[in-house]
Amino acid sequence: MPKLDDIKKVLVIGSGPIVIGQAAEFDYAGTQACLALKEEGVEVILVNNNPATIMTDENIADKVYLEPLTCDSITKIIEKERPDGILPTLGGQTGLNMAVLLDEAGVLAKYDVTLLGTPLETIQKGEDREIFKSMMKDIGEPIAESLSTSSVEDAVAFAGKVGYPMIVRPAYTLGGAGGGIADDESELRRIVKNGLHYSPINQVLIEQSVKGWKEIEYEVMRDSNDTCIIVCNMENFDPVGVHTGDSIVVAPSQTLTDRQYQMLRTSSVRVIRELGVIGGCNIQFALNPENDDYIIIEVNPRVSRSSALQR
Amino acid sequence: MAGFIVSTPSENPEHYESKNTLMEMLEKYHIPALSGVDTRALTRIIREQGEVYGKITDDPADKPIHTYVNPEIVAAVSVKEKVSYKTSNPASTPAPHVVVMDFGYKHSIAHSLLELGCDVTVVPYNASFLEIQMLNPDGVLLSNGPGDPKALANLSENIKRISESFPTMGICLGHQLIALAHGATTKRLPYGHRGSNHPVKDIQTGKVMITSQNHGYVVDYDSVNMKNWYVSHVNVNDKSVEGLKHKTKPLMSVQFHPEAHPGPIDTHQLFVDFIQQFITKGEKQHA
Repeated sequence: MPKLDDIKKVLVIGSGPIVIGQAAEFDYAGTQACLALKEEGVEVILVNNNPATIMTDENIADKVYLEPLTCDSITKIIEKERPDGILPTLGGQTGLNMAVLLDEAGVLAKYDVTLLGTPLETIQKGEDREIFKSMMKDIGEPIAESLSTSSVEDAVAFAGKVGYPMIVRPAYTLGGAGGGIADDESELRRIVKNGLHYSPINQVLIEQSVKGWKEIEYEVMRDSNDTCIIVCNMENFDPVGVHTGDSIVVAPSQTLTDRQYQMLRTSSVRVIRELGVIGGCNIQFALNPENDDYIIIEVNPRVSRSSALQR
Repeated sequence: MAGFIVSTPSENPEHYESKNTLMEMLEKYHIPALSGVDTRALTRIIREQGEVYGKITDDPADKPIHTYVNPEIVAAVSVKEKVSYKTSNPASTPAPHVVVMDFGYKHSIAHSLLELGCDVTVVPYNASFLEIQMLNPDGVLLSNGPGDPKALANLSENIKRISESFPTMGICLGHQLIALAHGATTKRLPYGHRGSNHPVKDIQTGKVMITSQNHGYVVDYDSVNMKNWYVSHVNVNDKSVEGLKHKTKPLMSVQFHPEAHPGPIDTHQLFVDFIQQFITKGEKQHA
């Protein structure tokens, strides 16, 4: 992909303080992005409200604003600096949210700032569960089978088709009260009946459970010329069911055959193309340890922690 | 394989398809192995020195000697008689027929063709033009294989005639042999391209694909006759020739492995394009 010659000054949105869900890897990725842009001769303006990061050191960006990450303050920075482009996809969720807000407020259009990387609609498509599900259906990529129902018999019929175990989640209950995992029909009948009782609208969501499957992630990059590469893949030490935050992750994967690695790689490339991501994308899979069945758990249209693992 | 060096062999593999450990497999095929080696340091030595020769021995004075690849190696690994495979889902009626010239072919090549609906006949590496013509193929594929392509120089005239008479595709050694037959030369790479992550650029689309590769020789860029040929693919890392396409004849060849397995399937489309040539024509290309 050729360099965009009309982009001479770029505003990078930092990731803010390091909190759960917005961890240090985004800080690292943003820092790398600033250095890479500078290497290409682009003037880098950085905004970050977190002074406790090397990202705000004076040798990382050309100019640093230690200002709140709000629509107002970033608008003022744009007004003053008049950047040609804005790069929000390396600051984790904070950066993405800012890009959406600035776009909705008409700031990007008003000051003629090009949004670099993944288009906003792609970011939104990845976030919306329903849109994402139908997109995956369109390209034939498997996701967890699920059904919303008010009937025990429908739930049993569905489980008969998809297979046990099944996760039961009553609709609109606090803290998931009345839900559970059913390993067989009698358990399912009991849990669904109970869940329907707890749900104020008398409805449960039942979903195929992939507890115990291998949890695998792929970090994919795509440029505007449709070239895709895998930065790396990763395998969680613990299976699906243990939260990633409580687990250890290893890059690259340690227990996949070449065919399995390539199967999930091919799937990753199909997903990033369908979403239209330009830049990084993180795709999470569950892979059955007994065969080659897999499902896509989640897609994030941005880089994640593995960008920090790969250098 | 003469020997195997590994940092830490896994003694407790866990995978539903796993039947043996690595060491059990090496023992089964009588391959000497050495473990506990810092393979990264070893890689660095090979990177810096280019070609290095090694020996697995318990005597430090027992130095390795430079041995040349047996020039007869292709004859040793090629099929001796032709072998035919029928596809189970023909792409047309009758199924297109591809003859694979076996210089040491990877079975994945035949599988790719069969999956795409072609009947496949694998013939010995030195099958003559007339023998191949008798098989009435829609297309001919020159396979990968081991060794120095120049050791097969005696086949050049035969390969030129075949590749000018049928839609032809070459892979790896097959690609080098087609290039040699059409007047280009080959040379040795400082250290070969080996592995499943080699970026290759398609010159027409500008797209980069990740390919599986395993070769030590390469077609010399400057020796390609640009009047009749163009370089269709180049290696992004060292700019070497990765693919050739004839300007007027249905003749193309690639240095990498589009059949993958192991490796990514990014370039699988090349098989589709190859087969499409004779499916859409609807009739045999040759007179």
